[in-house]
Amino acid sequence: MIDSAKYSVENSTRASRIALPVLALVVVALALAPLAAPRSVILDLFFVLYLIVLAQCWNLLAGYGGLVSVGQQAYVGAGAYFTYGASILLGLDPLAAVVVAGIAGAALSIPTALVVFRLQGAYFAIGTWVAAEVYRLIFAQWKDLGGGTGTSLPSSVAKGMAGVSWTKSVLDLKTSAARDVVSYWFILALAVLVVGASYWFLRSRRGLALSAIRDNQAAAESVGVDVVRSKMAVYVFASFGAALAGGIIFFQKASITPDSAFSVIEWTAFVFFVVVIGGIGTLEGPIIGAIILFALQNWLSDYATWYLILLGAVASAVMLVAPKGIWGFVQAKYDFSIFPTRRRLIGPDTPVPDYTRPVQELATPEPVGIRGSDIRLEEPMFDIETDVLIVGSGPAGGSAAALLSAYGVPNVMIEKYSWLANTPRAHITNQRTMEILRELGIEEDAIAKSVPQELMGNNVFCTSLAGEEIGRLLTWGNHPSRRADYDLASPCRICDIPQTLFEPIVVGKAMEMGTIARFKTEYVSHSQDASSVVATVRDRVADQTYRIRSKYMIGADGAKSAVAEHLGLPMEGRMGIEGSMNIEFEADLSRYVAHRPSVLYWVFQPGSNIGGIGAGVIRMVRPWSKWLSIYGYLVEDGPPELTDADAERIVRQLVGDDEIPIKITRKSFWTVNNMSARRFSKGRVFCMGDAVHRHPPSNGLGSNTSVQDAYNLSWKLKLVLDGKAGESLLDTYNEERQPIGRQIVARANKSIDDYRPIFETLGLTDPGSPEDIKRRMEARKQPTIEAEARRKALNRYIRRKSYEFNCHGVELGQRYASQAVIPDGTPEPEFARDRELYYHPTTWPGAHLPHVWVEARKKKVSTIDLAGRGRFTLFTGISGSGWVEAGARAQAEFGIEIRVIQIGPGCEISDTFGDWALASEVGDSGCVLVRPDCHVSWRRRELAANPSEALAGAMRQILAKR
Amino acid sequence: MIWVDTIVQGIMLGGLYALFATGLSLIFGIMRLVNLAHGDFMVLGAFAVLVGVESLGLGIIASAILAGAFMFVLGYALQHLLLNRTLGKDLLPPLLVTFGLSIIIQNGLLEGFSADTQRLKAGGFEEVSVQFGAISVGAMPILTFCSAVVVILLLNWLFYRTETGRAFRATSDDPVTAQLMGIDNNRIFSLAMALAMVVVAIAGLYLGARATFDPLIGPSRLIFAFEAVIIGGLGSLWGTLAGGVVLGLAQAIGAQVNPEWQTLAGHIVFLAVLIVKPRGLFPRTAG
Repeated sequence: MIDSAKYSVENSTRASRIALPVLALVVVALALAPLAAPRSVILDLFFVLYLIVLAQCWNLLAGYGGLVSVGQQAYVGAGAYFTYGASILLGLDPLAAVVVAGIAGAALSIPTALVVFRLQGAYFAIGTWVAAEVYRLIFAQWKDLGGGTGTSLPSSVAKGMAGVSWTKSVLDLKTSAARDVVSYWFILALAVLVVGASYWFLRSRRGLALSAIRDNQAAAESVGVDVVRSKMAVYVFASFGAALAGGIIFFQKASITPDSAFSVIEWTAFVFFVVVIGGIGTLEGPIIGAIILFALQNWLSDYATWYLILLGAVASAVMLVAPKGIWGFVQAKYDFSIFPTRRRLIGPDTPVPDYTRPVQELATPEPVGIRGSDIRLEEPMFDIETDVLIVGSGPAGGSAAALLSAYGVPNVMIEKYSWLANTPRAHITNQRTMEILRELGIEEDAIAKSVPQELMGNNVFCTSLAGEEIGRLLTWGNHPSRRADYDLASPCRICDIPQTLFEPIVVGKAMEMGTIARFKTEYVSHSQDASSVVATVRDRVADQTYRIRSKYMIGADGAKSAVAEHLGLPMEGRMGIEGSMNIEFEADLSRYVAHRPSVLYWVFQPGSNIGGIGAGVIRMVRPWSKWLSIYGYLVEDGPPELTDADAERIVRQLVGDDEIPIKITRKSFWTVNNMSARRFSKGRVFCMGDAVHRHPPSNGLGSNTSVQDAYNLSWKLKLVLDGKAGESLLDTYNEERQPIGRQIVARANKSIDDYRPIFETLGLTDPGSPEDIKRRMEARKQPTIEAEARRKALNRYIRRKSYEFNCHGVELGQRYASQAVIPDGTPEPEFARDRELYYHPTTWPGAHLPHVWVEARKKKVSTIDLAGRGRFTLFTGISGSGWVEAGARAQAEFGIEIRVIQIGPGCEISDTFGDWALASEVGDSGCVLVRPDCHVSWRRRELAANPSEALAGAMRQILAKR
Repeated sequence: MIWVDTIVQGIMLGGLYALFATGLSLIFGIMRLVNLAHGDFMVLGAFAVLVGVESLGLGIIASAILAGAFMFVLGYALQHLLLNRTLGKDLLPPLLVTFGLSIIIQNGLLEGFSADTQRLKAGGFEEVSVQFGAISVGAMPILTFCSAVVVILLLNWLFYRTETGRAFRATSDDPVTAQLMGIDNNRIFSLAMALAMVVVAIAGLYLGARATFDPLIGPSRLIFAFEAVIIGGLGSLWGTLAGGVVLGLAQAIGAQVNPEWQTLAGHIVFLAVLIVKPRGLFPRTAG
């Protein structure tokens, strides 16, 4: 039992508890500085402080709010002009004038936001700039303040100001110097206020919401964060800060022109650079950046233009090389934070959960990073050592864990969240994936939870589930002519398993076999050297960071992969092309689907537009009561607000039934991506799954490809870790899987394009009211020649969707070319049929071992059952006895298991149906060498003159032992 | 009559803005890169022509061709060595790096040429005007407008009639598949930037020949270019021309009312378009 009263949430760190009093002292010292410091120092400090204020405001906007503005000079200028207006024209005390100006600036930001918030991304940036230009031109029309040439602050204004005369007398200064001191105090107060308010804000609920939006807008929205309001709040706050700063800066300057007040260089470019160099998205970064900028400026004060050139170059370089800036670097390295904004759970006795080490060790203080002071730099208090660290527990990470454990490789798997997939996501589970599950001994568990092939395949295109059916395509091998292709290709059958059910099976098996899984543990960063990878991870229950040392690391952390990002894998393509929303619901739809069972029902309605397909989808999650409908939104507009009532309206519209009871169970948002990595690995870190290939769900290839990535890499890691293979065997992972990743990304995107002709033929793409579209859809029903052509075309285009739904060649026909595959000199066999639609089995090196049924002791087994399982397999025939001895010798030489299987009458395995004789493509004395991942790596048509030498030579190359 | 004159001037001015905008539109269209240094590149182009005329003693046409070649190489190298590395899902790197470039170019030019205003002299051609009834229109504005039309015609020909153009379109539509078909995206992007920089050099030529310029005017020209692109709607170069004309008209009419309102009127029309039709006046229809 956990006594929840003993736990508390804390969001301070030891560093922050020490740093905050120190900071307070610094502020007091700064406040007292005018007593001792000369005027020039005060002006320098004034410069640094106003940079801090502006940078902190911009950092809130861009670093936390995702609002990259190039127009904050609008508020600096407006604040300055309002201050002048209020003090000169209205006779207000300048202090009051500054406050009034700040409020006026904030008020101005609201209508501005209403316009510029219509723009996204880079457009937003330039839009804010235009807005600032508009304000510059408008303020230049303010004739009472000098119009375009500006004005200066009469000394009477400064003299009459509260505090100035006091300062004059106490510090014995002239009016102008006293004005500087008073301005300095103001800006110091503002800096403390802005930093403090930002700190408080980011730790508040709304600040938390802001961080959530920055990290994942859709997820934040789905837990009820009001994105627009949060962004608006930040924009207004940042503008308020900029306007106050503008007022104080120009009060100190004592003269103003529209060009100086609205200078993009002065008030935005510098600020941009300060934040980027210091570290965007941290509270400490802007402060550090401001100090660095000041130092640079002082150092290069005689070379103004060179200083700016250098600044531009340094900032650009920082952006490219270390995008998190100086403080980001410090934070990642030392986990040190002066202004912690995260929340941590603190327990009663032990500050961190009990892992493997004794409690005394756990009680050592949290690592902090001040060297040379009274705080000692502590080594992180404990490390975990393992052979392979797997980041992510999805289809890729989970399979890698299961396979590595099956091969006997110690591994640790970390997962950011508390459990596995919480939404159905991937579901089509193809034969190759099922073969891997079969090898792992979990095929039956998967089948038990699956929807079988014959219930998957009535792919319906309709105007609504209850409405008109436009056409139907038998999919996933359900057409009789295709069923044979599917049955002949594999011992396993394609099926449908929602990811929510798939992952527990795989991860459960992995943990059963020895994988150590740590949930609620987030990957933070990593570094690698010649022999190991050290990953820093964060236990999100205790908010405790620790390090895991492994010999190799697998980044299977999904489409937003931090591992791939930190590794700097070169990506091509785009993210967030189209927006889609998933609405999960429960409803008994059997009356609409019983006569045409399927996993997918496509609804063509104006406006539905998922993922650029132009249709809504109703997907079966569990027959026939749990469903998922997928509906589009314009990605530029961001995820829409979606109440349960909206969701139900969408579902009802797609189903076409207003009466049937529907219960909405969950809503989530996702975007269609089209991106793949040009490399999957770097050094000792390997990425797989969505981390390196991100694509639309068409063809159902995502999860399948992820599992097969893992299957390709796991045996290689095993052999290299055991010292049985050279490290360059690992390079073949990239060589073999990267082209596959690119191929499936391209295939899935092509499948989306293939919808277009269907829509065009139906007249859905031309503009018009729903009635017009309806009329055009009716056009194909006329007895005219034109309508006949339309009907024919529609038929043809619907059939073409077999490239998405019966794409057997793409599903099973992957072939590898790398150093671990040895060509036998024969050309690639010709493709007798379409290579995407049809799987062409062959033992041509690089291809997957063909499946045929053979018999072992009166039991039917697949050739695929004979291979795999972490070992090499050498298939030969009765006349291939020479290979049996060669296999035994190679096994002894290389220290790895090579199982030689003779197939033929009287042998242990008999080719009862005579299928292997055809499928093997080699003579009775030849051989086929199959890798642990069931791909053929070498073959010989006949017995070699010296079989032992031939096989040993092949193994040497495959294992990179040269 | 004065209003007819204003409108004609506005349309001609629109031709200049369309020239400013075409390069921006091109780069954005092909690689989704918003180049904050675009205005400064135009100024750089103008200075390149100036160097040809004043230092090398070449004619303005020869200088312009030389400047075009220089900008082509510069564009290719910049994209290849620097800007390709900034492309990705994160918005900040391209913005910051081009912002950095903008500052570097401005200050580099200041260092090299001082802050003096310059002008490209076209041998008296800028004084010539053509009489249409009661209105007289400068030959230079007409030439600018025609150049804009010719540049857009040439670019359209390049896009729709040549192999390279097909590669541009393919990469813009679907970089991954394009790559599968053997197109080297990096090379295509570099080529696109090089091409855009030739257009920038042409824009720089007219920028310098029609009015004075100095190292620091780039950002304001960038804003005009950006406004023309957005007003016209993304996706079509003819839309950009139309956007330029709308902006030119707005500025000419604003200036006619009060000379100080020229730029402001343009901005306000831009903001109005943004509020009423955020996708621009002539967006490419989806399909």
